[in-house]
Amino acid sequence: MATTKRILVIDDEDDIREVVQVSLEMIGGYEVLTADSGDKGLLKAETEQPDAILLDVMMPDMDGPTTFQALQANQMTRHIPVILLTAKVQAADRRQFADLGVKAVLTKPFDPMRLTNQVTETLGWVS
Amino acid sequence: MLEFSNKPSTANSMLSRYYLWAFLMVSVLLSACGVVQGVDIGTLWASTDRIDGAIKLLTAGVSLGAAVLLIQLRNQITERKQAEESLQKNQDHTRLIIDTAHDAFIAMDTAGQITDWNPQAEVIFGWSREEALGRSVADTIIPQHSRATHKRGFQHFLTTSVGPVVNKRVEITALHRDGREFPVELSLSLLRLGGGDTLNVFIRDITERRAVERMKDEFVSMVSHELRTPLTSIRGALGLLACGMLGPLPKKGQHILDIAVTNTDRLIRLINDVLDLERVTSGKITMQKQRCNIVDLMTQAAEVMQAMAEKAGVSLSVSPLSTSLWADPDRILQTLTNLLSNAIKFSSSGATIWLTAACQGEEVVFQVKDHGRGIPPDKLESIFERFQQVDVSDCREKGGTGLGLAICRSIVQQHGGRIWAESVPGQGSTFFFTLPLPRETAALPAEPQDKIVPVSDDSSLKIDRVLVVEDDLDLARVFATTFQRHGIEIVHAPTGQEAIQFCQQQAPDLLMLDVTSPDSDGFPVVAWLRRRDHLRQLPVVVCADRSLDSSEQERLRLGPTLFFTKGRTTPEEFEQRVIGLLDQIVRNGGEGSYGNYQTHTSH
Repeated sequence: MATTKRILVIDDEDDIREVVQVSLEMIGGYEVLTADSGDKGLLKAETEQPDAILLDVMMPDMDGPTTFQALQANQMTRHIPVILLTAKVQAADRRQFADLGVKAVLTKPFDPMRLTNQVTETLGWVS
Repeated sequence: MLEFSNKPSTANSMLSRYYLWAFLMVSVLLSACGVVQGVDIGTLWASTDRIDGAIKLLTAGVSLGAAVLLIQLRNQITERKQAEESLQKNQDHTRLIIDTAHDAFIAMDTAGQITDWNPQAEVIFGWSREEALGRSVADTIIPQHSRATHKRGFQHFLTTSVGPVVNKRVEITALHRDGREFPVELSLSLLRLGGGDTLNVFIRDITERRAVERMKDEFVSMVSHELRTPLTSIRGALGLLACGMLGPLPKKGQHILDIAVTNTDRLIRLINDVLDLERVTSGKITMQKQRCNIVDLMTQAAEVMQAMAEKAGVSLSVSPLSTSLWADPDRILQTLTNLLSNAIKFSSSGATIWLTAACQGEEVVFQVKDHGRGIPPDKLESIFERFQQVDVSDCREKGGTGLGLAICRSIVQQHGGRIWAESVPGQGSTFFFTLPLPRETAALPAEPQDKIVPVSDDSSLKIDRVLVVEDDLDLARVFATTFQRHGIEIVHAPTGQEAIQFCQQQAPDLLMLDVTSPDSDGFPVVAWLRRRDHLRQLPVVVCADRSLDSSEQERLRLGPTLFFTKGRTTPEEFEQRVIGLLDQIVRNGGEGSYGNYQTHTSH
């Protein structure tokens, strides 16, 4: 029996974190871990070793790109695929984020069904 | 209160008045003498002493003649004085305008030395007029790091009368006396006078404007984020409810929820469009222009809209055009999908929408044609305005924001194109937009100047491998653009001497030469390289403004060499062949293995 994939959601907004968690758990059937800041996310990624990370871009103190770079710099976490979630919709912004080396850049606001499908497809997981 | 001195002109005027009275008095005296003499002539003529009469007649004539000459002279002097006064007044007026202008005014001679410096220049740059006059402009207001480029550009302008900043409004970084750098906007014009050329520059400190722009950007970004954050939660929560994941809803409840979802989506689109339009129209978004294939753009647009078309029962018919554009592909795709989306919305089930493109002269014309309800003639223009739709209910019923066509127009206009609609009410509409076709290599837009690394800049030695010998800065930028699109930086050498200096320090991977005359700098550069063992097989790209004969070609050839004649090669072909040559260089082992390349020579 295949183990349930675990996704770490890092977002400073409680409501969004909850909506994403419910979406991924109920629609995708994934196990979701959460962190409300980049710092906590880094720690949780290292200790919990999730299968993927959904990372918000605009967060206080440590933003998404900085958190991603820290994840990449850490041997314990650099293998974990990261998907960025951003409210920036400009193509240039998305390209700039994509150039960081993340797996995908998804935009907010999102439809929960679509978000789950995009995460599944991006990570190559069978839905 | 504004004041200016007019003492010199008052003194002149007084002097002129004294002269005038003196002349009048002398004229009156002489005239009187002449009249008296004339009367005497009559009396004397009757006498026998005719000689005496003749003398008196002569005297009278001379007196009258002198009087007339004096009056004429007085008139001339008066006119000259008036002209001088008028000129002085104009000069004072011009000086007053310059001295009270809110912009700095700097004039310089062809040696680059300051010949005029107004009070606002004193304020902006911190140098008094007395201190600034006679100084070099470059050393006074140009930051150290840009000085070499400025001087080179100035020399280039003096020899060619062509320059990237002449007769334009450009923004550069300037230097204050205290060493502080700040942004300025300047407009430069050349005044050709008999006494020599003068370059006049009006300069405006735009530090505050930049700060406001930054604040506006931050505000837009903040609003964007702050609006989207709650919307993300709302849309997500509604979506979870609507998809039934949290349990079934009664039919009426589901319907109400669908309304909430639909309108949340509409609000999201509206926010996106408002922000997008603001950024596009204000120029905050620079069109990321690149070479893009029209076939790809049209096919991609149709693919994006296919799901919407299927849902509406509408067919999309695409007739792609196989040619390339110099455009921002994301934005052109946005324009095409927007027009297709409108066409789908206003087409009835079973209808077909045509997307076509055709080359017409120097532009390509895109068409999106539908057989919908059409547009009344009085709305054909206004639909491209913000929040203007054919019917006020369209926003609600069709789910549009009323901003899509305004965004399309901004995008097309920023590409130098036009957009319009033609329609027969009841029979359908056709939306057209044009985009200019790239004509030749030189037609490609320039990259910002700082992308070109001058040879004299030490940093160039670390990263640049393609050496461009080109005295035309604009054309050098075109070349830079071509290479930079492929992640290759260039070193720009405006003269052959600078090219040789560079090669003495580092071997380039490829040499690019602009050959404009039989004594062009390219020939001695190649001759010099030929005498160096490690450079004699260097790949070369030659751009000539005429067809080179075989002996000239031979003199310019080192390793594999491409020859282009300007105006006869499209930008695409130029790029394709040059990049093909570079690919070959890489495949053959990179630096130090020039001799293994297959020669590609073309005319």
